[in-house]
Amino acid sequence: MEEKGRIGIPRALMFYRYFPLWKVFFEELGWRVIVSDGLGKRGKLVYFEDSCLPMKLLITHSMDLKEKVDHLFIPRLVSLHRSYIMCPKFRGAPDIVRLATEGTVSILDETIDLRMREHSTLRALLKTGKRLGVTEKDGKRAFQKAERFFLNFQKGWEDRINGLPLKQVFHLESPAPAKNEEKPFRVAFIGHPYNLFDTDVNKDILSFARSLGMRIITPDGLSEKEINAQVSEFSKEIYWSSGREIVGSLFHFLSGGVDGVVFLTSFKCGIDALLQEFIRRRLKLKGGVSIPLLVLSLDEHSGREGLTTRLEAFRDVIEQQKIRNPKHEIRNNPK
Amino acid sequence: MALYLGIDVGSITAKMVVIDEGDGVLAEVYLRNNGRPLETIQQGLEILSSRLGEKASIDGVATTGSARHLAAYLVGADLIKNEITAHSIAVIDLFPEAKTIFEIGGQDSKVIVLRAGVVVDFAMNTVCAAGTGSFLDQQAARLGISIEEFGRLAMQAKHPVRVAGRCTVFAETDMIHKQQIGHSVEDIVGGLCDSLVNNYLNNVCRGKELLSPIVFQGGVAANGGIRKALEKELETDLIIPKHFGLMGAIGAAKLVKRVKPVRTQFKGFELSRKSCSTRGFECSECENQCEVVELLVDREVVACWGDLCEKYRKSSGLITG
Repeated sequence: MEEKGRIGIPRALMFYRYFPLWKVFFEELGWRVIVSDGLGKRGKLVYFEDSCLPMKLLITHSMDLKEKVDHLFIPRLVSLHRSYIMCPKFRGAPDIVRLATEGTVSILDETIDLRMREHSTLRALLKTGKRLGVTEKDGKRAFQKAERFFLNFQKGWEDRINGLPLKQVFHLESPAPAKNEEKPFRVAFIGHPYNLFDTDVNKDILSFARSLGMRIITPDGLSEKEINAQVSEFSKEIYWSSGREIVGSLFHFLSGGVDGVVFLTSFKCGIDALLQEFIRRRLKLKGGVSIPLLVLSLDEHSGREGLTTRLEAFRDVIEQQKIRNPKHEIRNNPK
Repeated sequence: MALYLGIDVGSITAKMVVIDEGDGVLAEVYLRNNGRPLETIQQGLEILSSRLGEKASIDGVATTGSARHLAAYLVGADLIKNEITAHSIAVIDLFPEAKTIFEIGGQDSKVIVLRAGVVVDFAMNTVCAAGTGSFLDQQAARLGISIEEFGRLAMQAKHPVRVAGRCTVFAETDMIHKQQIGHSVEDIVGGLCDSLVNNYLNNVCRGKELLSPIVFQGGVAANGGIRKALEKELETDLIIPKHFGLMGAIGAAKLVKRVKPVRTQFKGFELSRKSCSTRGFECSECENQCEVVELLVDREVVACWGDLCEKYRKSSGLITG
């Protein structure tokens, strides 16, 4: 098929979850998808107003793309869950980029709000397609194909993050490695996807974790039911979908199945700040848990040392716990 | 008798100890880095060797602290360990009953939670170094007094003033303001200690269960003002180990003693007489833009790091394959 044009997807925010879906959708319609480059070690961030690090990254990546593409795809993510909403900054994301790029690039910014209707993602993509001159029928077909690809991609997720270099996890042409080597520890890494998988932000901490003998488990594989089981009893509803997922998966993993839990937070993220306090109080109520928990805060420091020192020490802690508490061993290797 | 060397190179000071099989400290060094960790380590080796005598031979070396990798490349270490584990190992052997460790050093402050002789939780200061040794140093220098004198004065405070402890910039502004409206130096430094302790307990120790016995160590444990403020706030006495400033190095030495290397990597005390230097450059061959560092001993590259692709290490024959 002839290339109709180029769609730019900034390597930021929910790119780190939905990229496979978005990419296949546009490619099916004959558009070429261009992704922004990594920041590189120098990490030149574009500062725009006083925003949180993930937003600064969105702007930086958008700036990188704006001259290379016909449209930028930055959907207005209001809600990705039936009854919960996203951080308000996601709602304004396309507008912030529009301001920062001074209107020099077309932005595809249809609203995704799963509270309004179940098929909002499909609706938003169909509308986007319409703007690109695609019929509803072709749009639906492309969406079905994209969705199938996405579900399949998610199935290989754990093998990808444990087997591929972390920078290549979203290189869709790299196949999921069939089998990963055995690791002595199973460690759950929790946080916003753009903190967990953006190697510029987290200084590729997951690769380092792997080198310490950790098998990485992420909340991506958890079901709605498992998350609900943990958050339903809370006295106060957490109304951000990401926050709910983080707290729910954190307590899910703290109740068993892993040797340790690491929560990667973003410095200056309002949601994370509140969640930490929430988690602290909750843990106090529970009288502590036997599975070690580490909270690692990510900021704009260029050094990696602070993160690696803490993670090394955390590895020592879970190792000691395993020696003292061999029942973890039995649970992980049921024979 | 087997001897083990533990080296702890922190942001402000370098600590080195040599222990024997029975964990006795045979020789110790505590030096300021002055921003030159390599020279400091060399100087430390020289002092140790003069204290131990020429014939002393080392059976194992471990490094810890924020420059642990650099130190390891330089001296040839058998073990590299993070400072949290090193500090806790030193405490667990000495005070098996300890439930909490406070460690405040030059730029780091940490809290380690122990239960039944095992580390179960820990935290380190993030983002800002308010309340650590380097800020106290700076303030002592501003007042023209030694850090020992600083601690003594703080303990004499009758009515410690309120000082903002969240941020060193604000703290300094506050202290100068108090001084200009006539408060005594004792009350000001006493107030500073109180607010730094408050900051430490509310930020670093936030959410941690601080049970006694508590061991307080790191360079700042020498500061009586901080100790007193901690004890007042927590309403409990703190245990200060005899070698409070050397605990990281002692822990490292103990860890390598457990490993008992068959043949140590240690390059020997004569390293102190060789010329050692580093040089760094930025590789521009790919988007990683690695900052590569080479370590030279007697003008020969003996170690190299920072190159993700290991290209420079391979080309200088440091690794094969």
